[in-house]
Amino acid sequence: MRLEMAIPLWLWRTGAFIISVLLGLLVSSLVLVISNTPIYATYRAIYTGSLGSLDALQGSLVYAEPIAFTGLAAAIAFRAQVWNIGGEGQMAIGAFGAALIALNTNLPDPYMLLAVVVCGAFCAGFWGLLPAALKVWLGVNEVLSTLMLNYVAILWIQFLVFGPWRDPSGGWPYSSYFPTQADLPPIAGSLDIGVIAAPCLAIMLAFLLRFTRWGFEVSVVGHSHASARYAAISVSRVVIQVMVCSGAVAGLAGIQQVCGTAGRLYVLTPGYGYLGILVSWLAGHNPVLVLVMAVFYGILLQGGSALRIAQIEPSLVSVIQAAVILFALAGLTLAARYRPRQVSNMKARQ
Amino acid sequence: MTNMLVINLLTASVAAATPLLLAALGELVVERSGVLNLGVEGLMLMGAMTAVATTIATANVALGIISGMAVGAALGLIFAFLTVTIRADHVVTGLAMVLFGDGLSRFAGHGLVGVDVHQTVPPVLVPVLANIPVIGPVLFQQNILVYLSYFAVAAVWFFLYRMRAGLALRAAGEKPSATDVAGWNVFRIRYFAVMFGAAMAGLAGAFLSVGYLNTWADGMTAGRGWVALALVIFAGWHPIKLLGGAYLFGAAYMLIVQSQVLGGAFQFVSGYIMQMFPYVLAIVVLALMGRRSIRRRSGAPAALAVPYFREER
Repeated sequence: MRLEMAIPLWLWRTGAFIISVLLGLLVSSLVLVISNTPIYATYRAIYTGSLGSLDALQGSLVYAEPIAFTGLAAAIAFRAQVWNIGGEGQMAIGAFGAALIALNTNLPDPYMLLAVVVCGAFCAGFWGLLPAALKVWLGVNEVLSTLMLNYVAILWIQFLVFGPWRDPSGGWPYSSYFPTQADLPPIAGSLDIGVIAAPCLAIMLAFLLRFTRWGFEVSVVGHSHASARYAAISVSRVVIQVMVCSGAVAGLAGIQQVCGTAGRLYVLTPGYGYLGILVSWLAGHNPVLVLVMAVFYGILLQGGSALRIAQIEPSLVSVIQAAVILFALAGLTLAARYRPRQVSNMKARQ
Repeated sequence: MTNMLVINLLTASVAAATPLLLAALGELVVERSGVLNLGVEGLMLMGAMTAVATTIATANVALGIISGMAVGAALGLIFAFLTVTIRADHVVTGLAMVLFGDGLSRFAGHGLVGVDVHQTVPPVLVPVLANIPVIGPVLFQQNILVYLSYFAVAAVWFFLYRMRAGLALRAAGEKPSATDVAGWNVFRIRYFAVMFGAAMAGLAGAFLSVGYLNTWADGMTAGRGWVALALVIFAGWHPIKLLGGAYLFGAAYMLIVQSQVLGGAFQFVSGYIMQMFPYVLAIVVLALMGRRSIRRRSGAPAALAVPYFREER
């Protein structure tokens, strides 16, 4: 007799994800054994450093903030099967747009922040428009063009902070501090308003993608260009819209970094754009799940910086992250293929 | 005087182009078999780090290079398992491989950063050919890995266009089901292709660390893996055209390094702006290729990044 259990799909996927993460940690432990790093001490340092106290948890959320934005940016594009790998560059250009206003104007209190955010998102949206235009009119593969533009954007920031915008009082690669009107309002401790903005944006996006005509067009383009054309949806228009939105949202991550965390322009810590892509994929491009995965990643990153304090090589955490991701990738792919029997089918048979 | 300068510039360009050429040639074979491996950057980093570690440990640069290739191939095996067997998404798996290679090379190489490698690949003069004016110094007074890259281009061309197995590999990238029906094992072809490409990426990394810059630094490939991916498209998936593309990019890299020496207008442009040049060039080139591909077929394998399901044949 075959034992058949009615497992809901979400539980099946969650289970597959958790098992994959555990397997990834197991394999990472092998790396620890080989490199003679104490396993228990390492994992304990990661745990206490990321979840152990209220401060640690706050640190994890600070890391999760930019990843949530880049993850949402990736989710918009990937829904339409537009491979925007340029979150990294769009984030940097967003930070540039923010600094452009913050360093060169002195607007009064509420208008400054508004102008900073609008200009940052606008510049980042433009950085998303470039590869979209190249794709639509010249047939340039967006994976490569967005990638190349990442390097251009980061070099541009380097040029500014080492050159014309360098803080005259310090030798470090930073610009001068922004006026205080440009700082994001703090919520608690080191957390800023981004920690509220990200969930709001995620819910808005979820609504847009699920319940509006535009969201439907995005899904149709994502499934098949041929069906989109048959339904009189302009694929070019959707691709451009999606890339501009995606760029602008990724830009918010950059704005959050310079106006919330640092208070000045600097060469942004590389990697958040790429992490956003992975986070979005792990979340199945579902905006609300992107938040969950971003927090998961924030915990890993905060744990990594805690390793530095425990005098364990901090790059270890990037090995653990990558191992976890590779396993999650395999696990979720397999979980999607070998789905459990649907509950409704079971009932119909009884 | 100016002639010497130009010859030096060209010689340096060939050396700078070699890691791009090696990595792109490997990726070309991978993509021709229908797999898109975006993880080249990570594989190159692992190859570079392993080569430095082994060379310092054994005082033998040949062992270092071989170990760099072996580590590349081993990571390629993981990538092939995920994309060919498990049929995970090629783009996301590739990105994860970049993170994996970057993280693991940083972790395993943290004691090696900035250490000079003393046993490096020595330059070898090719008898007779090295004495030809201009061409001699530019092409035949390089190190042995550069000569290997010339040979590799010819070998890949011969394999793809003159051998039955090469035909099968191209067919696996165009129509895997037909290849399968013709009696070739598509999975095996793709496994071999991915592992070859990954070993070439490892070799490219090893060239960079023990044959060119003679040290290891975190993230030292600095986007060369990504440029290699662009080169494959630029070359229209053809190994001979790849040769030209790689040297064009090598020259672009060299212009940056030599911009101070060249003087003139170059010295007024910031180094950071100059460094944008290869990336902008890549986009421009892709745009030019794209225009042409609207009229003609660009040469992309039809089944690129499409997992093969035997059951859906």
